[in-house]
Amino acid sequence: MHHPSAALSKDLVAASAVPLVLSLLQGGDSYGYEIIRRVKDLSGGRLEWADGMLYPILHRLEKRGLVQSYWGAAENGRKRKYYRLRRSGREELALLRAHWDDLYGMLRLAGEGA
Amino acid sequence: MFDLEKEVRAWSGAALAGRCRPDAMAAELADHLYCEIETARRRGASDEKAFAEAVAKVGSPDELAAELSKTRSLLGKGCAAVARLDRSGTAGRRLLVAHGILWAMMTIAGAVLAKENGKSASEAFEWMLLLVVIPGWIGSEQILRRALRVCATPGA
Repeated sequence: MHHPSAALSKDLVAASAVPLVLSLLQGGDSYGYEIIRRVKDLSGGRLEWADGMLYPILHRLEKRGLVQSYWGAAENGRKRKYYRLRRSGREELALLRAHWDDLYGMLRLAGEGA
Repeated sequence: MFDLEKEVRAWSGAALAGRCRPDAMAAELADHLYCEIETARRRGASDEKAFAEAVAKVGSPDELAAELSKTRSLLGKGCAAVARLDRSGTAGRRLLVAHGILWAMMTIAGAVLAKENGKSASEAFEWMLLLVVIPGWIGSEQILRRALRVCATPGA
């Protein structure tokens, strides 16, 4: 039996990656390491991304025009690439959230009817 | 003595081997690795141990290359394949020879077909040779040579 505190399945991790990245960027510009750290914190450790998995997602989102990257500097002066949510990214996020809400609603209804 | 910067450069260079423009991505990956290294250092780890811990967390160059290749274009995947093949320096030369043979075969086939279809077809082929075949041959060879030059310097 699955316990709510168990780690999320690989399929769920993959499916939730884009909405999570877009949601985090809606809260402000960010960079790879911080995004991974925040996801880990938000999920209480149940959702831990492989670090290498994030960059293909960010680069794909940039290619699709949903996010925009720019170079800035870390506190110690090191070159750092930041990502910013674009207007089309906000629209995509709204759509994805609606889809997740629909799914959640379906799960609840299906459970009640059982 | 352990040279942290050199190790980080080697790690990102290996992860990005075969990419046509590795510099920007190398800086992004290096920043991520340094963040992990700094976290390990705050726990009291030495540079060498912090580097090993960070690599274990972020991924080996092969693991990272596999992840990053998921978003590469067809051209980028071809470039990486050439770079992997070209470790001895012979694959690039073979590719150039194959390219030359392909164009030569297309030109000969075009000439034979034109000859069999009469004078007007031969004249049309001459124009095609001047306007399409020769510029196309030279142009594609230049593009190929440039791609081979860039791909031959992984992590540069």
